[in-house]
Amino acid sequence: MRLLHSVSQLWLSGVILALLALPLALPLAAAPQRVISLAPHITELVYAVGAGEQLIAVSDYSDYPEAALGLPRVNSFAALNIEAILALKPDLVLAWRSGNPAQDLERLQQFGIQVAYSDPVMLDDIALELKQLGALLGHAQLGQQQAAAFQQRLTTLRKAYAHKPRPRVFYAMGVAPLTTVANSAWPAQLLRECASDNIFADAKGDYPQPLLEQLLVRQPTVIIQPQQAATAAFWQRYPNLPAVKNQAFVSLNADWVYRAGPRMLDAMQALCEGLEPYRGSVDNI
Amino acid sequence: MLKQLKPRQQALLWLLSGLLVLSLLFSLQIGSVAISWRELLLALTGQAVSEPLTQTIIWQIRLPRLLVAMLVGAGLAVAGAVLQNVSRNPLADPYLFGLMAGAGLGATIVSIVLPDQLISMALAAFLGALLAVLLVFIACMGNRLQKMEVTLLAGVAVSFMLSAISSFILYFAEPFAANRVIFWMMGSLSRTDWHSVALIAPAVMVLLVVALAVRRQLDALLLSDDSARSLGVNTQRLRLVLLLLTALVTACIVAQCGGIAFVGLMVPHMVRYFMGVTAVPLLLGSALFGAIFMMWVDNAARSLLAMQEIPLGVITSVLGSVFFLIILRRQLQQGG
Repeated sequence: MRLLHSVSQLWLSGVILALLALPLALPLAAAPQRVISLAPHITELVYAVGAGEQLIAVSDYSDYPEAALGLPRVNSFAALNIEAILALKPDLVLAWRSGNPAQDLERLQQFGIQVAYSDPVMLDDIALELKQLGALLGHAQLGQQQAAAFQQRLTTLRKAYAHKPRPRVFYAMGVAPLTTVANSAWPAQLLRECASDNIFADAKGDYPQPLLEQLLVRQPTVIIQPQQAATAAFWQRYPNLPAVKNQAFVSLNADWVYRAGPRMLDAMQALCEGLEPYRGSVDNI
Repeated sequence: MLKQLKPRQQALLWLLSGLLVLSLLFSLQIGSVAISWRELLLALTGQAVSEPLTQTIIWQIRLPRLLVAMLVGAGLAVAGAVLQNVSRNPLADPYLFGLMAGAGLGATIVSIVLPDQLISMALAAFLGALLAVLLVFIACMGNRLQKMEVTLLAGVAVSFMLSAISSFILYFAEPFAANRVIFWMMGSLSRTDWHSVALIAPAVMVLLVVALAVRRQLDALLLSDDSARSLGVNTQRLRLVLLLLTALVTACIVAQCGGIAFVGLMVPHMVRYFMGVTAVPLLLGSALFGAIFMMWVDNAARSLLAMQEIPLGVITSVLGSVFFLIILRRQLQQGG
């Protein structure tokens, strides 16, 4: 009888302990544990808020951090592999509103898959995304920390460069055909943040294809390129461009500058620092 | 109708029907998720499967998609066969009326210019395709569709005009949206569901039934317009009805699946080689062979690359363009 009593007491205290622990455990249990990321920048954000372990599949080109390379790929920019996504039984799919096809996402939702959206447009949105993703994936605290760190670094960079002399820059997204950036394209935002004047800031669209003549007339003093690859021969044809004459080239990591992840600030820092040598009165050289 | 066929033609049609059923079964098994034959048969017969997901994949993803593939292949092939016989031009093809360019323009406008979700891409593509047909018909009104060459040339001109407008819009578009429209124009069945089956099936059926109903007139038209008229065929009305009907079917198909070129050109020629030129064996053979062909093209599209799809139009165009050149070459040799 005594034994029974103590056993039941033990059991009761166990129940009470479990009940006490429940509020602590609940948010964790509710966070989705089988998550699919449909864009490279989302994959980077998910890892940044410490939820990489919850990812079960990713998009094409999700190559950072390295851990993502081992995950199955379920979509390209053109279409989602709905069958593969359903088979993986995700409890949350993270989609990119402007990058993933809307019809496919609608179809996923019809099959009862929960879809959450990411759609950063401006630099400050990235901090917001970190915070939201952290909360959504059960890592609210780390998400908030990462967001604050991002915002802090952004503010520091802005302060450091805002009032510097502004060089005239051409962003060579590609040379065949000649393609540049303007308006709300990510690199165009970085050009503004780093206090430089994009010679095609007045163009229409985010990725305009300017005329070569216009490039020659507008006389950029610095040329920025995502990679220093095979463009050298192209630029040597125009030795009278100030940027070519002075060999004023800045190269940027394309993965940093086109993905709205935390590494965007690495791109910003590299760009701002890369422009430093050319901020003086280059025209007089 | 079937009794008038030669035994060889009948045998071929039965063979094609058998192949169609076998292809359907095989294709149901192909996909990025492995499903065993046993599971497949259980799911198809509506019995309980150990994995409920299998039911969804078979019934909601693979089966509607394969049915659309069959309907698209059959529809385009029958449309091509009808157009080639009506015009006595071996190079006639349902897309030569500028339909694809029109559908492309519709898709471009709806996904880039108009606000989201105002009208669906399929409806816009359909309206665009109808616009192209309308322009071609207006351009050819004077010659009353007597000279098919004129109609085909008008189609080419309308194509260029409408795709120029699309290109201009795409030039200013946000790159992802532009890429998606371009990808859409290359053709894919990945967005098809039962809804698409319900939209395409009636159109294809009506075309096949009408074409079979006028089989005698179609055969008379093969001789020459004069001979057909002397046999009591109203050649102008027949041509107009069939042209409009094929345009409508093609517009339905393009609206759902984007551009799947050359099927309408290629399949009827292959069928003619085995079945002869008369309407009944040609139309039935084209429908069956087109359906089988399209199913296997789609199988290739969704299984050649792991986890990714190759646009259908790429595969059909590669096969079709080579075939087109061979026909041209042969015609030259016959003519010379």
